[in-house]
Amino acid sequence: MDVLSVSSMEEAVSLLHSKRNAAIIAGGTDLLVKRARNKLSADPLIDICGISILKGISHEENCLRIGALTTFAMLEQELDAYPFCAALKQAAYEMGAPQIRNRATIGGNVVTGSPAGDGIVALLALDAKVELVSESGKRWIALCDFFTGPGKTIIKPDEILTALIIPQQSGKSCFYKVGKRNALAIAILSVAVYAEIRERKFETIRISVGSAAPIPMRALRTEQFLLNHEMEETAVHEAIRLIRKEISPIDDVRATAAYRHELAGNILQFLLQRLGM
Amino acid sequence: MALRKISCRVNGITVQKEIRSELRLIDFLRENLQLTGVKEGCGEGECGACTVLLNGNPINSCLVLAVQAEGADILTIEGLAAKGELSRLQQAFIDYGAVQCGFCTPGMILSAKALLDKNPHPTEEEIRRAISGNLCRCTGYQAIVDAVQAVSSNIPHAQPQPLSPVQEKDRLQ
Ligand SMILES: Cc1cc2nc3c(=O)[nH]c(=O)nc-3n(C[C@H](O)[C@H](O)[C@H](O)COP(=O)(O)OP(=O)(O)OC[C@H]3O[C@@H](n4cnc5c(N)ncnc54)[C@H](O)[C@@H]3O)c2cc1C
Ligand code: FES
Ligand code: FES
Repeated sequence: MDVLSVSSMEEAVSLLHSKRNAAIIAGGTDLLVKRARNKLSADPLIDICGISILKGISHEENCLRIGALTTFAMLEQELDAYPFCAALKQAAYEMGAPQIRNRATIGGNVVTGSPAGDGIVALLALDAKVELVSESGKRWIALCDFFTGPGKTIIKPDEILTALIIPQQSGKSCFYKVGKRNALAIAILSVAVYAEIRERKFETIRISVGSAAPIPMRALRTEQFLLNHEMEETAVHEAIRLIRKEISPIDDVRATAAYRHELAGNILQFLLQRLGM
Repeated sequence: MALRKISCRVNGITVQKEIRSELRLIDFLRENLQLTGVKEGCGEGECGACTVLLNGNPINSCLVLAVQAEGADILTIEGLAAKGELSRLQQAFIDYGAVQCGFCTPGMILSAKALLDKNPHPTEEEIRRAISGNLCRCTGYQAIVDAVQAVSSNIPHAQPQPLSPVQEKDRLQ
């Protein structure tokens, strides 16, 4: 297997275009596990870690631009400046372990597209967009339209995910993950909520759930119900009922579907109460 | 077979080699440089036995390609006692009974070192979080946390707590 290291987008894009069986490697924390299990057939690998413009968080007009190569360790350290992104900071804090956070990138998390992806779940609640670049140009797509199946996305083989773009917002967000233990735990279930609450009413609300369906999902029906509702007990109880109906989790080695249904409601209640305070 | 040149610093020494481009960093360190203090447990990022410091930060060398370390500064456990004398952290691991079979120890010490370099006086919680990517099947972790805490306290030569009879028995076995 050949590995080609690039330091510019131009090089990366033209290599991806000309090498049919190529794959991108960023932090390698998903790709090299796949290789260790003999499930990687791509050749060559194109190492994009040298493209420095893809690293880090920058504030642009009305939005936050998170470069694809921003690691979870960087997210954990640098998101304090943007309190409305608390959900993403928390997801980064709980993700993997130090060794993983130092390598794993947000771009890799999104392209891997695991239904359990912690970064994805937080980004969904923050209404992020994905920026994709190929030889034929640039396009943007809402993150909630990016996933098509477990580990499947709409990214084309010759495209590079260059950034996650989050609109500047005035509300609050939070994230909660249940795993088998505190470190190195794939989510049994995770929920992120973004809300703008005025006079106890939900003026904006977005809820996303991980490990609850074939793709990381938004709980749109639950959101719709809560929108313009007052933050009070009966509404919260109805939201709990709705989210349990809306998700379609499975039994797997980590937990049963029934337990996940239970968790989804409980975590939502916990997060709504936290945001309401 | 695709070959590539790599140049990096390992334990303070500049190294230049021609290697197979798909080689993992762990293989490069163990096989090309004979730094066998880097251990392979799971090969999938779960155990932390292969931890080394890359530009001061702990990473799993089983999940990094050697060519991705081009130009980097790498520290392995061999680099801590370069002059034949153990570092304080290494000595504390011995004094506190934080080493049993020893398989996790190189990675564990490097994770702890990365923490102490950035945060010389961590809380117990910070220590536990810093070593959360390093599995130990023997010690139960407490002795490890104690060892790191001893080094982080201001006492120049921390006195180990006497081992409990059970720990002492474990240690002798
Ligand atoms: C021990 C361990 C624990 C983990 N814990 C967690 C956890 O708690 N939560 C969690 O969400 N994940 C976890 N993961 C999964 C993984 O670390 C993350 O998904 C990580 O963010 C992947 O990023 P990467 O840079 O390492 O991706 P890579 O492995 O480099 O790439 C992943 C995939 O994305 C593609 N890709 C990467 N970057 C781009 C780009 N910019 N454009 C186009 N394609 C790209 C690659 O071709 C590949 O298919 C864990 C993994 C391990 C090994
Ligand atoms: S061998 Fe690298 S983490 Fe287990
Ligand atoms: S001492 Fe044996 S695994 Fe830690």
